[in-house]
Order: sequence, then structure tokens, then C-alpha cells
Amino acid sequence: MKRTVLIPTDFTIESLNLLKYAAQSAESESINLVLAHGLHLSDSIFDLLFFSRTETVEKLLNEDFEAAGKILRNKYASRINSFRIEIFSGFTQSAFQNFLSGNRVTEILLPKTYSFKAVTQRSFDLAPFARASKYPVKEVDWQAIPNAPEKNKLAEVFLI
Amino acid sequence: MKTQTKIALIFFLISLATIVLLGVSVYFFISRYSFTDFYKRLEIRGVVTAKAELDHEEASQAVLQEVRALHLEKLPEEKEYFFRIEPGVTFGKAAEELDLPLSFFNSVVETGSGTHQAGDIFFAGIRHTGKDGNYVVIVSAANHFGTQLMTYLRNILIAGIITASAFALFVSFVFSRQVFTPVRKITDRVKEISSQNLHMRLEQSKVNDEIGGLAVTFNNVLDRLETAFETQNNFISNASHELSTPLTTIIGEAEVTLSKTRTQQEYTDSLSTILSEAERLEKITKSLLFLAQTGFAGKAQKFDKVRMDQLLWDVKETIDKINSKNKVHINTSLMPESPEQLKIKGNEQLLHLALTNLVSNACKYSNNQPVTVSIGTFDDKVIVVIKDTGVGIPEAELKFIYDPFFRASNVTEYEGYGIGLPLTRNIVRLHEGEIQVSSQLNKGTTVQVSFPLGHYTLS
Repeated sequence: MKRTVLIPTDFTIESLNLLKYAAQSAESESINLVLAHGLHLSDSIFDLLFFSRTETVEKLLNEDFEAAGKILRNKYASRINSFRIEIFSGFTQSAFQNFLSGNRVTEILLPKTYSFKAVTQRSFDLAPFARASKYPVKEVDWQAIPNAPEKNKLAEVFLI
Repeated sequence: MKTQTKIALIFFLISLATIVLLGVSVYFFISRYSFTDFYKRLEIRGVVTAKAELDHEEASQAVLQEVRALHLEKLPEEKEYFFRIEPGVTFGKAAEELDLPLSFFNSVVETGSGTHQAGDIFFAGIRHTGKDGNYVVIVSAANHFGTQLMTYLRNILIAGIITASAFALFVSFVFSRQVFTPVRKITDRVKEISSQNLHMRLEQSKVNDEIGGLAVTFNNVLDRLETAFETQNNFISNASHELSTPLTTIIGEAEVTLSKTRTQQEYTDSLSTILSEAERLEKITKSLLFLAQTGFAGKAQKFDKVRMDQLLWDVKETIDKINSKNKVHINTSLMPESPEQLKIKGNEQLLHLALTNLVSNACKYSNNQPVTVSIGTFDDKVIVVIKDTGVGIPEAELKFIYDPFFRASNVTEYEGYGIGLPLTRNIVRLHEGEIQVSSQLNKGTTVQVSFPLGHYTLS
């Protein structure tokens, strides 16, 4: 069975370090990548009625992040079998467990020192859930990107 | 005629036509209904009268008299006539007597009923089959009530149409005035803008409507116009300055040398100074020419397959030749696996020139500190990022960097003419690419250039 790696993301280019690490560690096999973002859904009845996963993800994405992700995927084209972005909106550990098994995740990557930025007010960190899950969790450390002129621009991808 | 008046008139005419059509049709249908109704009433009277007068049945006689007295009130000028139908006898005499057309009698005999109107008097005729033969029964009466009703209705409708059209006229003028107010405002504002006050802008409404779009478009045009104006002004002053500096040196050197007799060595020195200044002058004019050519895109350049990574190595080689102290590092860590994603359609000489310009700038303004040149692809684009840790560009001056001869305020100690970047941008534009410069003062500059992929496949 192919490995499926869950990577929490905050849609910043710096957080793509995890993706790069996953691809590098894949070596000769090809892996599935699931980028996950924790987001509590709105309580409004209308938002729930017209909820669309694709639209929600599109709203969170920014152009530079998308482009950076594509550059990385081009770089590791033969190692990345599939790549998708998922939203986790549960509250409980068992919901997260369900989310993992639903996405056929085999392992999780977490950053060691980098702390996720909240993209929206409803975003939350997946790390506590991940640590409490029974899946193998690997922590990755990287050197923080200095405050370069290209911070949060596409060119930042070459610094990670 | 003004469009405003035209629209008001059209609007008014449409409303007027609708109102008149409505009025006329109401009048027509009501009057038709009222006539039919009256003829029916006359016919009923005819039937009842005929039964009472002609049939002489004892039993029904009393009842019919009672019905007539109680329920059929006498109409104004109501009259009844009975004519016996006898074969071979026409109603010519009767018709003459009552001043009625013969066709009316004939239609009653043939179809069983008929109607006729003479002025205010209405005639309804029926054929009655009695015990002692067939009769033509004619009842006539004046329809005072109906006539009054119709007159009243007509007056109301005419008054209504006049009031409504006056209202429509008023509303249409107010409406068209309202519609054209923003347009008039824009016209007035644009009239105020001349080459002296190009910084003025139109008011942009918050609502995203057509007029708002017009204002935004106008403002964009003004933006471009203003930039073009400024660039033109800067270009002329900068160009004349750049060209006059070496010329002044040449003239000064020559004058001083010629002021008295010099030694052989002095002549050689002075001539070599003149030569180097003249060379500089030539370089400037040459690059100006190049800038003009690429800017125009008049001459069609030959476009061919260019491999971006190869081009970067070539650029590095060129830089190594010009400046041996450079520390250009080509970062291929994110280079795509497939070489197909590195080939673009372009002119190699021009692209080489553009990238050499960028990389040598990076080396120059960072005093030969390390410069990283990275390459990657996404979607249909190849992106090259050139990053240095040099002096940077002041934020306020970032928007002028593409102006020919513009030089940032913090680079006076470095040699240059300010032609490189505009030239590079022209070349990038020629290749339908994009160039983005981000910079932080004293921390460095990152230039990101992207070109569309050429879609060359391996063969």
C-alpha cells in the first residue's frame, strides 16, 4: 500500500517545508500527500446550507501558495502520486481519527519549532489532535526563514 | 437633441401610448357591453308583451300582466309594435311608417331577431309564433341611462389620460435627468483635467455599476497617461544629463590639452581619456537604441526554443568573464524533473541580455556578496528568481525603477546609467513574461521573472 502523509498547513509558503520534507523522504517510492487545515465551520444556517468544500478551500488558498505548491510538485513529480487539500472541521479526537482513516492516512508530519499562523478566525491547530492520535507522527525542524524581501511571495519557495 | 431629452421623450411617448390604448379599449368594450345588454332587455320585453297581447291565454294573462307591472318598469319612450307575417306581403309600409330600414324586418323574419339604432332610440325585433299566426314584434326605447353612462365614462377617461400623461411627462424628465446626472458629473470633471493637473481623478462610486466602471476606466487611463507623461519628462532630462556628462569631459579635456603645447605623454593620456569617455557615450547610445528597438517591438525578433537552465549557466559564464569576483550560485533544488518544463519560446540573445543585466545588477549592488539564482516551474510558467543581499531599493522609489535613466537615491556610488532594468523589462514583455521586484532597504532585492512555457515536447 502507498504511504499517505498528512501535512497540516496554514497556507503560508514556509509551511510547505513539510511537503518538501515528505517528498524528499519518499526517495524512490511515490506517496500520497494530504494537506489538512483545521477550520471550524460557521454556525450560520445559510453557510451550512450552501457549504461547499471546494469553495471553502479556494477562499483559503492564495495564488503564491498555490504556485509554490505546484513548483514543489513539479520538482518531485515522480515521488508525489497524489496531492489534495482537505478541511478538518471536527471538535473531538474521534472525529479526527475518522478524518485520518477516511483519508487513508498512514503517517503525519508536524513542524517542531514553526508555529502555524491562524489564517482565519475559525482556524485551529491540528497538532494536538495529531499528537494524541495513534498514527506515527514525525516532527520536522527547519531553519526559520529570515525576514527577506520576498517574504510571503512566490520567490520565498526557493528559500525553504 | 440631447440624449437626456431623447430618452425622456421616448419614455413619455411609450407611457402615453399605453395609457391611450388602455382608455380606448376600456371605452370600446364597455360601450359594446352596454348596447348588447340594452338590446337583450328590449327583446325580453318583446317576448313578454307578445305573450300578453297576442296569445290571449286566460291563465297566463294575469301572471304576465303582473310580471310586466312589477318587474319590467316602463323604459323612457318605450313603444311596442306588432306586425302579422303574411306570405307574399312585405313590410315596406310598416318600415316607412316607423322610419326603419326594410332589411331590419327581413332579418327578424329570417333569423328570429334583429336590432337597429336610430339616434337615441334603439329597436329590437323578434319573431313571435302565436296561436293565430306569426308576428314580428318590435320594441323601441331610448337608452338614456346607457348614453349617460358612456358620456360619463368618456369624460372620466379623457380627464384620466390627460392627468396620467402629464404625470408621465414629469416623471420621464425627472427620471432621465436622474440617469444622466453621474454622466454629467464625469463630463464636468474630465473637462477640468488638463496636462497641468493630470493627478486629478474622478470620484469612484462604491456601487459597482456601469457608471462606476466608466469612472474606474477613466482613472486607469489617467494613471497610465500620468506615468507616460512623467516618464517622458524624466527620460529627456536624464538622457540629456547622461549624454552631456561624457561630452563635457571630452570637451574640457580637449580644451585644456589644446591651450598650450604638451608633451607626447600628455597628449596620449588626454586622448585615452577622450577615447574612454567617447566609448562610454557610445555604450549609452547603443543601449538606448536597443531599448527603443525592444520597446517598439517593430522589428520581429526570431523566436526559438530556449532551455532556461542552460541559459542560466550561460549567463553565469558571461558574468564570470566580466567580473571574476562574483559569487553567483545557481540553485537547482526546485528544478522540475521533466526537461519539457524548462523550455520556453524566445530569442536567446535577448533573454541572455536581460538575465545578465539582472544578475550583474545583483552582483554590483551587493558588492559581490552571494547572489542566488533559482529556477522552478508551475502551471505553464518558468520562474527565475534572482536574490541578492545588497543595498536594496528604497520603497518609495520602487515604482520608478523601470523609468529609463532612473537611479535609486542610494546607488550614487555605483556606476551605471539606469538603462538595464527598463531594457530587461522590455525584453521580458516581448516574451509575454512578467517581472516583479521586491526589495528591502539594506537587506536585499529579489527579482522574480516568469516566462510562459513553450510547450515543446521531447522528440
